[in-house]
Amino acid sequence: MQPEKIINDLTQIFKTIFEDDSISLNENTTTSDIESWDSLNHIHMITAVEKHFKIRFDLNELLNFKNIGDLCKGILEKIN
Amino acid sequence: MVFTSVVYFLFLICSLVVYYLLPARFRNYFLIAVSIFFYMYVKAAYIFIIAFIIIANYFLGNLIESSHSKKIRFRYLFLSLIINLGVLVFFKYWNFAVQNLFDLLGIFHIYKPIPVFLEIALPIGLSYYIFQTIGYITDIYRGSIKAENNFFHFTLFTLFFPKLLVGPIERANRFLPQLSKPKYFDTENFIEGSKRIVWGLFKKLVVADRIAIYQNAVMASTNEQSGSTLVFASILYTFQVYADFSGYTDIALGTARLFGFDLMENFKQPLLAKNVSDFWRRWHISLSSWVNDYVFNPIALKYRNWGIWSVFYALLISFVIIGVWHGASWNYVAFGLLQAIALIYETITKKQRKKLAKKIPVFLYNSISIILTFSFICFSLIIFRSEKFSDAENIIKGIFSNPGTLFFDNPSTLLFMLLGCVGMMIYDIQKEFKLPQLSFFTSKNWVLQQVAYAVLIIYILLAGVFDGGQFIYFSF
Amino acid sequence: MKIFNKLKRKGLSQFTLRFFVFLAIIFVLDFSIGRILKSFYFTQDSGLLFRTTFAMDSTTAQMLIFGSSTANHHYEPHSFENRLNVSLYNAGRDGNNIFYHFAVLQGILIRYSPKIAILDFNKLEFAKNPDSYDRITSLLPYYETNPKIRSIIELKSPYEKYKLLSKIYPFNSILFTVAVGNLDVNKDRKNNNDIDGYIPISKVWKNPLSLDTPVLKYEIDSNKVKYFRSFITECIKSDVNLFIVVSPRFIKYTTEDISIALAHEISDEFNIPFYDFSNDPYFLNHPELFADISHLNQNGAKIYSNKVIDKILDYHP
Repeated sequence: MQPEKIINDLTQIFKTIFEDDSISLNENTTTSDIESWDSLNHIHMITAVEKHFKIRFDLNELLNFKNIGDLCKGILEKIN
Repeated sequence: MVFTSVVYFLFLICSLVVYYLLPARFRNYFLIAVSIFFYMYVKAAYIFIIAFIIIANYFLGNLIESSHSKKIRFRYLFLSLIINLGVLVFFKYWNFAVQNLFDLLGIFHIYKPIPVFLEIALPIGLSYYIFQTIGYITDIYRGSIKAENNFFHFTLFTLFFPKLLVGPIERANRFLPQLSKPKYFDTENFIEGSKRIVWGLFKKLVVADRIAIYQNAVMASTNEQSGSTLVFASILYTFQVYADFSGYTDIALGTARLFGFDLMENFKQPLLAKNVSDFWRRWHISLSSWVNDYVFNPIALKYRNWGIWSVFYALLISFVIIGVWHGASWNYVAFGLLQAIALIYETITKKQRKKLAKKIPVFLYNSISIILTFSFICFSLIIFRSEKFSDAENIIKGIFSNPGTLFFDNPSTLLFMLLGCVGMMIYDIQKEFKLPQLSFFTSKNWVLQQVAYAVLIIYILLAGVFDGGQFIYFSF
Repeated sequence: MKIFNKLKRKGLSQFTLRFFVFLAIIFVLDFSIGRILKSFYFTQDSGLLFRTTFAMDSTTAQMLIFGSSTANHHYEPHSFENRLNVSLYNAGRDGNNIFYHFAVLQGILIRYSPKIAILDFNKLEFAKNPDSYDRITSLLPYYETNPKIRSIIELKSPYEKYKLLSKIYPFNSILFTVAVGNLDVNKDRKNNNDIDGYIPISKVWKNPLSLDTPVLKYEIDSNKVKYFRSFITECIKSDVNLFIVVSPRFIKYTTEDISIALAHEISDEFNIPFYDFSNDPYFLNHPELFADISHLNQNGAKIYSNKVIDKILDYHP
């Protein structure tokens, strides 16, 4: 799968979870860029991502995600 | 050596002069030496505890880094946690744990041995540096930082005296890189560091210590005080705690700056928080973000399948830890639980509150939010300060049932307290809402700025509390 | 040796210049505000601070009362003036101790010798307590004006001399008190309408007698004992008839306090009369004479004063 496709999928997931259609993601997006990205939405987002890509992260991977780029890399590693 | 004593400033000036006279490559070693002196000044023997923590974690950190097997890495992490938490529990929570265990055994008439209490004082800064090393080791385990391979750098990371007494709890990835950069005397560091220290002295001596005199007088006899007095004292207590802690922190950050170091901010106008979760992003940030990174996130993410319940569970655990971090006593547990409940409530009502905010003018909504949050903090600090539940009960009952006039000693005491709080809050409000035009303290004209700081120093001389010579005579 | 990093000479000289300008601004402000406060301090004509100044620098009363709050509220001047036929000033001040009493005595003896003096002594008076040294703060305004008491002020801390380089420091925390002390309204405020330094209390105590929870052993402060002895010897040198008296309290004592015992012993050594009313049965049976457990109200003060006068008359008929 292409990284661009992953970002696209993620954007859709974010729009649904955060109930905000104006969200646009890039590799450098972090929690501070999206107002409604709090810890509860983060949990919801992670579980939705795992379901969508049919993967399971381990705790250490999740804790080291600093931005969307890290998350994409993590997803890529899992599905390839 | 408290930061507001004459001895501290003599120590600071002497250390600074020698520090900048030494060749740059010796400066870090010199800082280790003065930090050891600073630590041993109060009680020399405790240097062995911190030395043990430094040595153990230095080696364990490097062992974790150099092991490739996940299992072995985890074992070293586990060993390090046992050592760090073991020392912390032994010195800070032993008596509390023993007392409660025996009380419990007593209830069930199981066994009545003689409890073994330790008569030892808490080593200074223990809770701060233990949390800092736990963070360091965990970061290495997670792979987010490299282990420090310079023993002296690691020693100074743990022992750096400005943050030894009241934090901030630093992060390895912020602090360690600063140690490799050579430090030179820099006029801007000198000026900014000194300004920070002056503000710290203002908060501590003019605001916190002045209110403390009043608090001591009122709290000595809570059941004889009128409701209005108790409400007033409880509000002032919030200002007092904030002024005390953030004042000390300002002096710590200012001192570090004088030596060319940049420590993390610990407070961001917390009394202007719009809700309780906002408050915890602004109050004692180095602790709350620590708990967020090493307790809340791991728990919430680990149990993410529980959905919202994982957040509730993580909040409860996190805030009980924040509570007992302050001390081994049930009131701190209760304080933590209260915060967790407030945050759970805020999580549940977040959407409704957002809808409500759209219907009310922004200014009004924000003002009400700030006042409500502040009231909640004042209330929770009543629990925080009451060693026994009956004390908190007395205060809360008194607030609702004792009519009577407000006790404020004499008008001069009241005026000093209010002027101090107003000064402190103007500073915060201006920072929060970015109103620099109001201030001479940030003026581009250096003469105006100097006069502003000179007046601040003069006001500290006029209104600061320098010793127990100021007291409220409470006999009538 | 590299102290400065690529610092232009100009930048450094500008910094040094501004640094000294800043020190100069502070010096000028401190000096001028300190001097203004000093002059206003000494022009007060009522209140707590004024009474200390008056006792040190102005009183010429033939009889003086020294001590803390118990001195201030317990010795009713008219009884003494009428029965002993002397003029009286009450130099007692709340929360103070022998360091203060001795300093005030020094300020007075340099001017004249009173005929009679009472030192009101309290339980725990000699206990070692850092607060006692902090309380020396009340003497700071007199550091410049009364050189004889400097050694007492320097007991406060080894840095006191240097702190006093600031002219504001002696007047720390009393800005508003000094301002109001210069106004006439101050005279009508509670606790300020004194009668020759004496402040009557009108409150009446209603709770039952409390039993003393004895502090049996505590550390004695040798400095305090030293100044207690000096207080006695200075009085003897100046021919002042000194009486040392322990005031009544509404507490039943079960054990003898070691400060009181030691003070008694030292008084005996110098042949100074020592009267202890702390367990006087008369007062223990009359709660209505007290304002709180350690202070008599104005009625109590009158009765107690007459009892003290009886003792003095017995001693010097």
